[in-house]
Amino acid sequence: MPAQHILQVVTLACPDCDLINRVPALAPGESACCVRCEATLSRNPPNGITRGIALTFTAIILYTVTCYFPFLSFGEAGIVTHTRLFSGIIGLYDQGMYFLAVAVSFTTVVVPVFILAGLCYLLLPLHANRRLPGAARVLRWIMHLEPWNMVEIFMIGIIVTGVKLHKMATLEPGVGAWAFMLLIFIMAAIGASLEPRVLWERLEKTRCL
Amino acid sequence: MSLEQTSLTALRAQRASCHGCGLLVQEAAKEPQKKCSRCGAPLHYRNANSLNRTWALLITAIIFYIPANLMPITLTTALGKTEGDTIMQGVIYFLFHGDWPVALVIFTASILVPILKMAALIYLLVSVQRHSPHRPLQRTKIYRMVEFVGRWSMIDVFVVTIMVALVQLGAVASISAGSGAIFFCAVVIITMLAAESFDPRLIWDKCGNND
Repeated sequence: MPAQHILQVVTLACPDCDLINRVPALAPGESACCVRCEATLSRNPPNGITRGIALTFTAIILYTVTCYFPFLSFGEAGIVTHTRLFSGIIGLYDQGMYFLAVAVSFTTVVVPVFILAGLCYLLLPLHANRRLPGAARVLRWIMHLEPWNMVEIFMIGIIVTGVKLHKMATLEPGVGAWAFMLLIFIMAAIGASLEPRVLWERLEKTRCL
Repeated sequence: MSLEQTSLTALRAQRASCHGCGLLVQEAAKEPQKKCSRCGAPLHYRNANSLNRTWALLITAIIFYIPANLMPITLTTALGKTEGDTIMQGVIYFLFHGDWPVALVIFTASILVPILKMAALIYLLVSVQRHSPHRPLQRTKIYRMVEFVGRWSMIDVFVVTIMVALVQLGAVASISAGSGAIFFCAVVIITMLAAESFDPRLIWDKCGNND
């Protein structure tokens, strides 16, 4: 196994309890946690960057499909409403609920799009051991914004709405909604295959383009 | 100084763990405005004003939680009549119409989780301020839980958003968002920020023994 896939021994302070831990060398697939508070200190996902790139592109395609295809339709024979992903945000805006429109678009559009675009900007050059200007800032922002990416919660929201409204009329998911469903799993897989420590250590070794 | 001793914290070793990238940086205290050499994030031993900031956000969230529950989150217009529904009315409606799973999901995400989250943060803040040595590991786990579940309260806001888009059946029925939804969304966002500004390392700093 090539040496570069093994994470070297490192001394880290636990982010949750500040205890200094000596993290042993990690083979792909292994992870280490704090001896005192059990917080995960470091992981080594196998082929993280390559997988990250593949999954990021998959997610971009799925998000594009979600935006361009019918999302949900609702109604009974005759009166049927067809919606897109953005319909709810536009509806809230039209009703004067600007704060809600901003909050929903931030958590389901702005943040996921920023994360996907940022990962492209970061991972493609990193794969070739290069980095683009501002790469460190982009990675810091991606990590900072991660909890605000709420696509999976939106999906649960769709399911709850479906159950809530099923007595009123039929709710039909469109191609967009199915793509969105897949997007949730791809987004989770991106999170699992990318470890901040691996990215930071790779970034440190690269030259700026 | 040897860093291999397992009872040493970064603070005692005069090292700061970078918030951005986790790098352990030496002697951060000597230069107050020092930035991390790897990622450029400003360095500090603990989150700045962690307790005050968390209290401020938490109290704001508690105040906002009252109108969030008293004001309607949706306004349903059916056959010319407009009716407002609060979160609790929604739960009761589904409970008595046989849809108890929906009632349970809404009750958990919109009522139970926010209340437990705010109570847990109060407990963490008070215990840190009283220098409590009581079960630091359990308290750290409570903190992780608060951080993890906080986002899921947004479900109700998204349900309102989707219903606003879907239920526009002209004169038959239409749904619009009520002002309670604004307050509720604010509560979720503010409690997430409060959890983010709380520094779990304070639990271990103040608990005295480093077992």
